[in-house]
Amino acid sequence: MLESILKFAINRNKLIMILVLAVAALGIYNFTKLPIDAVPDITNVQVVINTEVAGYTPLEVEQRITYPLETALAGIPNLENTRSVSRYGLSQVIAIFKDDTDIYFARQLVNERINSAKSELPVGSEPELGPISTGLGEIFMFTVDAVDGATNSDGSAITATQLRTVHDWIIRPQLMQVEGVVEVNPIGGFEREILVAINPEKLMEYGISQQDVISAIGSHNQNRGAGFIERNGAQWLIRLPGQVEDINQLNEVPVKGSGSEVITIGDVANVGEGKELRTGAATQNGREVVLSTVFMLIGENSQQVAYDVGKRLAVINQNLPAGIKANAVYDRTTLVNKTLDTVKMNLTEGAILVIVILFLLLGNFRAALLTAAVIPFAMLMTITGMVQTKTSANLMSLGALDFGLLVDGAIIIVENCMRRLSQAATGNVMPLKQRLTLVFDATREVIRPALFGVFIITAVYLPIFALSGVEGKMFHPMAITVIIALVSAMLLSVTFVPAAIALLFKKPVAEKHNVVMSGAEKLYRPLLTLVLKARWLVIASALILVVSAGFVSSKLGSEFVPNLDEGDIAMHALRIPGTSLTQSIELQRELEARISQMPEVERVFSKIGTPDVATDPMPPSVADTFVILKPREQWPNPSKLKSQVVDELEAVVSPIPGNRYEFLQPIQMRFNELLAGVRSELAIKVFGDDFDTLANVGKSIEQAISSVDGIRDISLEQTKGLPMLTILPNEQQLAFYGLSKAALQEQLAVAMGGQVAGKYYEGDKRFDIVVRLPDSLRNDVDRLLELPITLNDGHVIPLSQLATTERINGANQVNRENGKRRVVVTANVRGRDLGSFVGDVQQAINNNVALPAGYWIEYGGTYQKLQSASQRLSIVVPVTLVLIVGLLLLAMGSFKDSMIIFSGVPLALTGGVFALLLRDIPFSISAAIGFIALSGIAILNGLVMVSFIRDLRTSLSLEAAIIKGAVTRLRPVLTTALVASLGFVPMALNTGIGSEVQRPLATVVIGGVISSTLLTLFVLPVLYRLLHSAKLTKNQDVTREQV
Amino acid sequence: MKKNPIISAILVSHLAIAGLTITPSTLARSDHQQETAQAAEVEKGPHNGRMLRDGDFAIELAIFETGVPPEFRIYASNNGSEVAPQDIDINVKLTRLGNVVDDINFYQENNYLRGDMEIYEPHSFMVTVTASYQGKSHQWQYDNFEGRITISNELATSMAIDTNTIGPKTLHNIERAYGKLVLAPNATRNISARFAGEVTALWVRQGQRVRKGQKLLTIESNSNLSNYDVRSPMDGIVTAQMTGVGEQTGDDTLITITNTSQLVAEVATFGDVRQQIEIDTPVSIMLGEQVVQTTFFESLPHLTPQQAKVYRANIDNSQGQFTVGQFAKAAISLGSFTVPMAVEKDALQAFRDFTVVYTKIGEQYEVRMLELGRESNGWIEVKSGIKTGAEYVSKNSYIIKADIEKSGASHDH
Repeated sequence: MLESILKFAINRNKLIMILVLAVAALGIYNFTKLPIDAVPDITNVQVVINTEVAGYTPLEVEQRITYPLETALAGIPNLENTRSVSRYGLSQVIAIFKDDTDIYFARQLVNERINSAKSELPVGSEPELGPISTGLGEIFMFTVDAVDGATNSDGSAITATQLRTVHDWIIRPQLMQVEGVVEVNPIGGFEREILVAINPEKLMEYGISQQDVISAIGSHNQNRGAGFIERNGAQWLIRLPGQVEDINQLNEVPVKGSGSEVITIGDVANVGEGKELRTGAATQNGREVVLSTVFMLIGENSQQVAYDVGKRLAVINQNLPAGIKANAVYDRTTLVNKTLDTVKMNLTEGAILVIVILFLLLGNFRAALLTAAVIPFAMLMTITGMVQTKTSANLMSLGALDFGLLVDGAIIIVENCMRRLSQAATGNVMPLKQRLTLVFDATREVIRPALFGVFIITAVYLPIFALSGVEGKMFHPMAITVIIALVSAMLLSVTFVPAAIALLFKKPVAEKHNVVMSGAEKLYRPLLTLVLKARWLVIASALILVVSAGFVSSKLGSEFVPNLDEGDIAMHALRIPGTSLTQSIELQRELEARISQMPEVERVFSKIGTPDVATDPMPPSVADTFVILKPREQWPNPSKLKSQVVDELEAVVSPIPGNRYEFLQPIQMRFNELLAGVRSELAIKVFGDDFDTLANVGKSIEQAISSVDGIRDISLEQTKGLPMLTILPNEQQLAFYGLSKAALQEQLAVAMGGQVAGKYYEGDKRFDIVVRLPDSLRNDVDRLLELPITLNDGHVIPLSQLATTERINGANQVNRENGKRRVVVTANVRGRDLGSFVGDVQQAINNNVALPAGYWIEYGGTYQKLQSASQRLSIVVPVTLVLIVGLLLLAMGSFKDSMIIFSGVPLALTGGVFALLLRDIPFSISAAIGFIALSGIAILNGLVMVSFIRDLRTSLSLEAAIIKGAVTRLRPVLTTALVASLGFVPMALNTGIGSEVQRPLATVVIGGVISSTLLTLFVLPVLYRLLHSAKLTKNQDVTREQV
Repeated sequence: MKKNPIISAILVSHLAIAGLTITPSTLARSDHQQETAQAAEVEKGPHNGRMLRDGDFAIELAIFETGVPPEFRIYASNNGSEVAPQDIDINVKLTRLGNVVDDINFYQENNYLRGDMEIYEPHSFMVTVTASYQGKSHQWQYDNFEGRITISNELATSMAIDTNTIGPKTLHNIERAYGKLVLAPNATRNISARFAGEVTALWVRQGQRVRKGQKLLTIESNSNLSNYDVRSPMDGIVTAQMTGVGEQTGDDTLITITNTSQLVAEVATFGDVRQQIEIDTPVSIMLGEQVVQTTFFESLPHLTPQQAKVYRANIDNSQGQFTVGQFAKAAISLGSFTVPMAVEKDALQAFRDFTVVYTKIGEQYEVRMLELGRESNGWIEVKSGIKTGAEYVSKNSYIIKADIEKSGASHDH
C-alpha cells in the first residue's frame, strides 16, 4: 500500500502539490479559530452554587443551606464529588463532575436539583450558579478610581460609593455585552444605599417604634397606575405618583400624628447616603478603589476577549463622569502575547537555523528548502488538528514541538534521493520515466525505516495519555499536538516530499560534495576503523557513561513542571481569622505603600474579602495582592531574576507586622482557588458530625503523627476564630415583660443589621432604602445594652433588662466534602519516600487515635496524585518499551538488531542528563518530554543505519558492510542530529516570558542529540560488529536468533 | 556465547526502563527540596518538661502548675538513671524583656528539685540553667518567647501604633437613664370662692403669668352682696379657668394656678443601678440641648410596671425654658474613684484565655496579662499584671495581636 501511495504521489505530483496547498490554506483559516492562551486549562468540570444569606453564622449556613443543597445534588449522573464551604452569610457548594461532562449539561442538572431543594431553604435565600468560566477565565481586571485631586461639582471628595455606582450602572452593563464575557465581578467601594439612621432616643421621646418608621417609608414611596380613560379620541393614562423623587423628600414622610402635630422621618432619623455592610474591599497603591474582574466564557479565545474588553473600556472611559477613571490593571493579552512572542521567536529562529544546516549539509539549496518546507506545512496541518481536537495553543502544547523530529523523515528521504540522483546523473537530462522510477526506488529504500522511526517516536508519547487529573490536563495537549505534528510530517514525507523531489529535480543533480561533508567523512572513516578495533573499550566506556548518568540523575533536583513565569506576582496577605475589613484595609495600605516603592513595581492592587459574586469566598482577613511588574527594560537591573524580585518583595513586606504571606502568580493562584485541593503532600481528612469532636480528633492526630520520621509542616485546619458578640435573651425577663423573642430579635436586627424599607429610584438606577442605627451607635458595643427596646404596650426599657451579651470565638467556617463535615490535618515529608512515610503515619494514627463511632479518616493530598501517576507510568512506560521493541522487531525481523538499535536509548539519555546537570536545571516533566523525544531520535537514526548495514551485508563482509553503511549514513545522521540540536538552541537560550517551560526540554534534546549521534556513529557499529561476530566465528549458516 | 546477546539485550532494555522511570520516582519527591528543613523539635521528657542534655547528664526542666501557681521542677538523670536531687546544685535565671532577671534557686522535694519562685505570666524569657553535678558544671541556655514581637519605630509610627503610659487615673462611674419632667409637689393651686357668689370681674385669663397677691377675681358674695377679691396665693401661670363674669361660683374650682419655676425630673432606673443611687446622688439632666446639673432628692416608693425605680431631681425652670412632660436624658454620677493604674479599653486584646495589653520596651512588644477592675468611659482599672510607668500600646493594638498570632506562638508547659 505504501508503495502505491508513493507511486501515486510521484506520478501525480502536481495534484499532490495542490492538495498540500489546500490543506495549508485550511490550516491558515483554522489558525484564526485556534484558542490561544498562556498555559493549558487544568480546571475540572465544576459547578459552583453560591447562596447569600445575611446574618447567618457559618454553622447556621451549613445547617439551613449547605446541607439541603448537598443532599439535593447527591446522585446526579457523572457527579464525581461535592465540597462546600459555609461562611458567615455565604454558602458555597461546588459540584465536581467527571472530566468529559458537558458543562452546560452539568449546570442544567444542578439547576433542576436546586429548584427541587428550594422549599427547604430559608425564605429569601436565592442559590445562584457561578459564572461559566474556568481558572483561565479571569482575563482582565480594571479599577475604577478618582483622578488625583478631582472632586465633585460641589467641591466634596469623590467617595467610594460613587465609584461603585459608576461601575455598577455605567461600566458593567457595557462590558457585559462584549462577546465572550460571562461576568464582570466587582469588589470594593460601597454599593449605594439610602440610610435612614434612626435615633433611638427620639423614637422613645415620640413613642414611635422602628416598624412605624419602616412602614411609613413603605407606604409613602409607591407609584400607582389607575388604568386609562378615553377622552376626545385620545387615550389618557391615569397615574398616581407617590415615589420619593429626592432623598430630602424622605425627611418629610409623616410617621405619626395628624393635623398640626405630625412627626416626620426627619424628626426621628437622619436621612443620608449610607454605606452597605460590605464583605469585600479593594485597594490600589494604598488607596481604596473599586476593582472589577472580567470573566471569560469557557472555551473562548482569551487573547481576543481581553483585547475586546480593553478596547471597550477605553471607549467607556471617554464617557465617565468627570474625575472618575477606569484603569486596566491586568490584561491577559500581555502575557499571552509575550509567551507567543517567545514561542514564535524560538520557532522562527529554529526554522532558519534548520534551513541553514540543511543547505550546508545537503549542499543543495532546493533540497534544503524542500525539506524545510515540511515544517510550515506540518505546522499548518497541526493547527487544523488542534482546532479539531479542541486543543488550545499554549506554551505546553507548542512548547514541545521539535522541528528536528518533524523533518527527520523528510531529511532521510531527500538525502537518499539526492544521493541516488547524483549517482545516476550522467550530465544529460534524465528521461521523466527514469527519473520518477529512481525517485521511487530511492524513497522506497528508506521509507520503511523512516516511517517506523516516526511511528516509534509517536508511540513514545503515548504514556503521557496515561496521566490523569491535573497532570493529564496539563500534558495531554502537548502529547496531542506532538503526535498530530508527527503524523502530519509523516504524511508529508510519503506524499509531499517525493512529489516535490520529482517536480523540482528535473535537471541533473550534481551533488557538490561540500567541504563540511567531505571533511567529516575523512575524519569519520579512520575513526570508525579504530573504534571497531577497540570495541570492548568503547562498550565499556559507553556503559560507564550510562551508569554514571544514572547516578547523576538521582542527584538532580526535581520539580513537577517548571513554573511559567507570568511576569507578575500574586501575593496572599493573610491575617488572623476575625480581622475586620477596615483593619485589613489599613494593613493593606501600609503594605502597598511599601511595595509600590520597589523600583521594579509598576502598580500593586488587592482584593480583600469576598467579591460581589462569590467566585472566591475569602474572609475579610485575606487579601489577594497583585504586584504588576514593569517591563524588564525599565528595571534598574534588567537582567535581575524574577525569583530575586520575589525575594526582595518578601524582604520588604515581612517586617510589616500582622501579615503572613504566600507568593504565587495570578493564573496559578486562580487555579489553586478553583481546584482548592489540599496543596500539601499528605492530607488526613477526618469526617464526622460534631464540630468540637472533629477538632479534638484533629488535634490528637496532630499529636500522634508529630513524631513520625521525616514529617514537616504539620498543620491543623483552623476552624475557630470568628469573633461573635452574642446577645442572649433572658427568658424570664422576656416573659415578665410579655415580649416575644422574635419581637426582640426583630428590633435588634433592624437596629444593628438594618432592614430594607423600600427602593429609591434614580433613572434606571435603584438603591435600597435601609433603616438602621447610625454607625456611631452601632459600633459602640459598650452601650449596646442601653439600647431602648419597645414593649408591646409602647413602654420602653433598656436591652440590659432583657438580655446579656457574651463574646465568643465561633466557628470561622465549616468545610464539607461529599456531604459530611471534615477537618484536615496536613503535612509534608522531607528526606524519605512518600509510600513508607504514609504507611508510618497511618500506623501512628491507628495506634494512638481513638475514633468515636461515626467518625472516619481518609488520606489524600498530592501524594495520592503522584502515587497514582507513578503507578500508571510504571505500567505504561514498560509497556511502551515493549511496544517499541515489538515495532523494531517488525521492522528488522531480528531481536538482536532490534536490541542494537534500542541500545541507543540509554546513551541518548546520558547526554540529556549531563546537559541538565551542566545548566543546573532540575528534572521535570518538560525534561522528561525531552528524553522521550531523544529516545525517538536515537532509535530513528539507529534504525536507518542498521537497516543499511544489513542490506550491504548480502554483498560485503561484516566489517566492510559496517564501514560502508556507516559512512553512507553519516550525512543523514549528522543532518538530523544538527537539525534537532541547533533547532532547539534558541529555545534553550531564550530568557523571555514562558521560556522556562521550554528550556529544560531544549537543553535535554541538545545534550542528548550530541550523545546519541556519537552513539549512532560509533557505538552502534561496534555493537553490531560484536553481536554479529559471534555468528561469523561459529560459522553458523542458520539464521539469527529470533524471539 | 549464545546467551550473550540476550543478556546484553536485557541489560540494555533495563537501562532504558531505568532512564524512563526516573520520571515517576523523581516526581514523587516533588519540589520541596529547596525549602530549608525546620529546626529539630524540642525533646520532651516524661514529665512533659524540656530535656536538657550534656553528655550523659540530663535534666528535665518542667513547669508544674496543677493546683499551685506555675513553678519549675527539675528531674535529673545521669546516663538514663535517676540522680538524687540533693546531689545537684542548680540555678535557673529567667531573663525577661527589659533585662528583668528572675533568679530561681531550687530545693529538694520528693524526687525532684522545686523552684523557689513563681513563674508569672507571660512565660516569655531567656532561660539560663546552670547545674553542677559531681564536680562538673553544665550550662544550657535557650529562648522561650511567647507573645513577643519586634516592630521598628519607623514602621510603628507609619502604622499609627500609639502608646500610652500606665498611671493613675480618675474614673467616673456614670449611668445613663431616661425620664421626663413632671410638676413639683404643691405646684398647683386650685382657687375657689370663699363665699359663694357671682363672679363680677375676671382679672386674668388662661395662660397668663401671675404673681403672688395679684388680683384674680372679684366676687359678689351671695350672703351680703359685697364684693371681695380673690388673690393669687403664689407666683405661677393660670393653667385653667373654669369660670366667667356672671357665673355662680358654687363650690367649684374657678381658676388653677400652676407654678413651673421648679420642675421635677423623674428618672427611671433599671437593674443594679437602682440600688446604687442614693438621695443626693448628682445627676446631669439633658433636656433638648441644655444640660442641668442637679441631685436626686427622693425616689418613688413603688416600682413602675416595667420594674423601673423612679428617682426625682429638682430642675430649676425659672426661665421657663422647660415644659412638663418633656423627655429627659439623665447621666447619673455614681461616684468617682482614682485608681493607681488604668488602661484605655481600646488597648485590650484577647490572648489565649487572658485579656492583655502589649507593653513596649525599645522596639519590642510583649503581652502583659492583666487583672482588670472597674471601668468607665473608655478606661478600665488594672489591678495587676503590669507596672506603673510601663508603656503600652493604646491604639491599633490589634496589629500587635495579629502579628503575634500569625507566628503561631505556643505556650510551653
